[in-house]
Amino acid sequence: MNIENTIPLNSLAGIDQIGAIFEMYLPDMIEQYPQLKILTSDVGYIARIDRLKALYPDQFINVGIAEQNLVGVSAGLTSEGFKCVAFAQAVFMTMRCFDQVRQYLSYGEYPIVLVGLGAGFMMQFMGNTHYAMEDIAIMRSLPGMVVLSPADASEAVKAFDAALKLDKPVYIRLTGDSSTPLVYENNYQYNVGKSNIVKDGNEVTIFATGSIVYNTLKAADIVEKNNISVKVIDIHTIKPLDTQIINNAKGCSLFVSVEEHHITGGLGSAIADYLAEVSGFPPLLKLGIKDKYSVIGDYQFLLEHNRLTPEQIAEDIMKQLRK
Amino acid sequence: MKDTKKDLIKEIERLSREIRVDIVELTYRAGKNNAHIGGSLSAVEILTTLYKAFIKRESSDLINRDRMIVSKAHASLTQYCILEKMGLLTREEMYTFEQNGSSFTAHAKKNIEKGLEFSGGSLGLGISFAVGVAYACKIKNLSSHVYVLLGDGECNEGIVWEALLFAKHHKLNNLTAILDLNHLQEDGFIEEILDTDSFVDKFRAFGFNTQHVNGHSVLELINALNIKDNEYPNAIVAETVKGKGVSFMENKSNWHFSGLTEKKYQKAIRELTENCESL
Repeated sequence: MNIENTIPLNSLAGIDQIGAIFEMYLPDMIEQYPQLKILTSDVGYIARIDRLKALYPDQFINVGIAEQNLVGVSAGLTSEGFKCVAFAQAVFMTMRCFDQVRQYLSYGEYPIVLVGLGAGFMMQFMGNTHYAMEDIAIMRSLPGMVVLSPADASEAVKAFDAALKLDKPVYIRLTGDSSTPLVYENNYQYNVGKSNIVKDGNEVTIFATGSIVYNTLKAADIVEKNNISVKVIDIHTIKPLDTQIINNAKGCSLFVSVEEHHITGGLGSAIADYLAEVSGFPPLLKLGIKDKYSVIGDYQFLLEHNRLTPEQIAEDIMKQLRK
Repeated sequence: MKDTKKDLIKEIERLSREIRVDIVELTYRAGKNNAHIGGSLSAVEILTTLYKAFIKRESSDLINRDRMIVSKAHASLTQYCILEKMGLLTREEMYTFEQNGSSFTAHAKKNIEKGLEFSGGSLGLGISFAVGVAYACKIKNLSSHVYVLLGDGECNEGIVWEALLFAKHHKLNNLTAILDLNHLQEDGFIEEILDTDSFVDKFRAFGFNTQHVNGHSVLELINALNIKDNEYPNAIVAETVKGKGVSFMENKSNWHFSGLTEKKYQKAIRELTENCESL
């Protein structure tokens, strides 16, 4: 089924990734998944599940503020044949219950879909306790985990739909808010593990993931004003990483990774892990959070502070090119 | 007491003695790899009574089986020995315990065909899994009962209490948690490390229909396991002795995870089989 028939791309403008999944996709599509259970550790409010819960109360379980038990109960249900989606703030979904995720989803191979809300800087004034900046690193360290990081609301829906159909444990990292523009304006193919070139070019290749893909595209436009051709790739699947698309960009003079995540262990590290095994590739400039806790503020302020606005990304790329 | 019940108790007691011998045998065979012998010996009557008298399981109808989840998964050793008696593991498989490449290691790996419901090892996770399983069985209208064996040291873990709250809230009357209260955890007596006071009061406060029994009395275990609440989950606090049956292991924390020299092995076997003959 083509999701775009049910949820047209133009209906997603002004919708965040959370709303696209929990307010639009699930209420409309849940009927095709009679065995689906949606569980949360008391953040239904953040996911705005009112409509979903009103329509399908029996498919929704709030276990209370207990992420460890959230994953445990999901594992028990999965063992008995249910398909489970568990969601919480990304930081708690991945770190409060990391042992449970490892034991049940990875070692136990229970194909549960974890959805991390408000990753990156989206928790804004909640502060660093609520910022998920390490979730990609720890989730991708687990054998068998599929790690998805959609760029916009449309890709969030496609990632979620793919995750439900995949018989594997999946972590979906949701970033951005309703003001995050859509990266994709026309219908497009989404395949787990197969990344998308969102702008073609041949001198600099920028790999980006999550809602920062949009700023990366803007940064590419700025760099191109210097007559430098830039390719931008949306790495929507961090694991398994699309190494073919990296190979295809081998002829560039510079690789750049951009992520709303620590540069240790995230997208840049995933690419670097691959590059360490091959030869003849350009150097990799990793842009993201530089091994520190951030000052606190609104989303735009945090991007500026961490040099992730289009202008700052472009500046850092130009600086690297001039070296 | 009816003769059939007396016979059943005798049969479980006989099996328990054999299982203790097997536990000692496997610990000896594990050699320097050591085994969780203390907490395995304390759980023998509990698990044997459950398997022999309560757990329904037809290999032709696994969906309706009762689920036995060993949350204190270091008692997997006891479980292997019982599953061998029940014909689910061969003697050869049992003897691969803690051998290189074996599936039957210190903490069991899930294998439903062989009666291993859950990959345990990280303490507290089994009870959380069990409440999920019990919830699923309820909404699927299965008649299956879910039994879960907890350790007392394991109850230091916060997830245990998260799971108990969930069980009561969802009225999981198809769940029975049995606590193997042997009063010892790896580093010493629970009362000295993290005093939990009354487990009976705690389970009751968490809304569980709770019995307090001697965990080495098959009669008391049978009577308690026969009481199932119509509405709320059940708990049995079973008072046991860590290392039960081997004098030099009883109530000694250093036998939580240990190995046996040939001399100690022979002494243990002698004690267990002499007891056997006197009964």
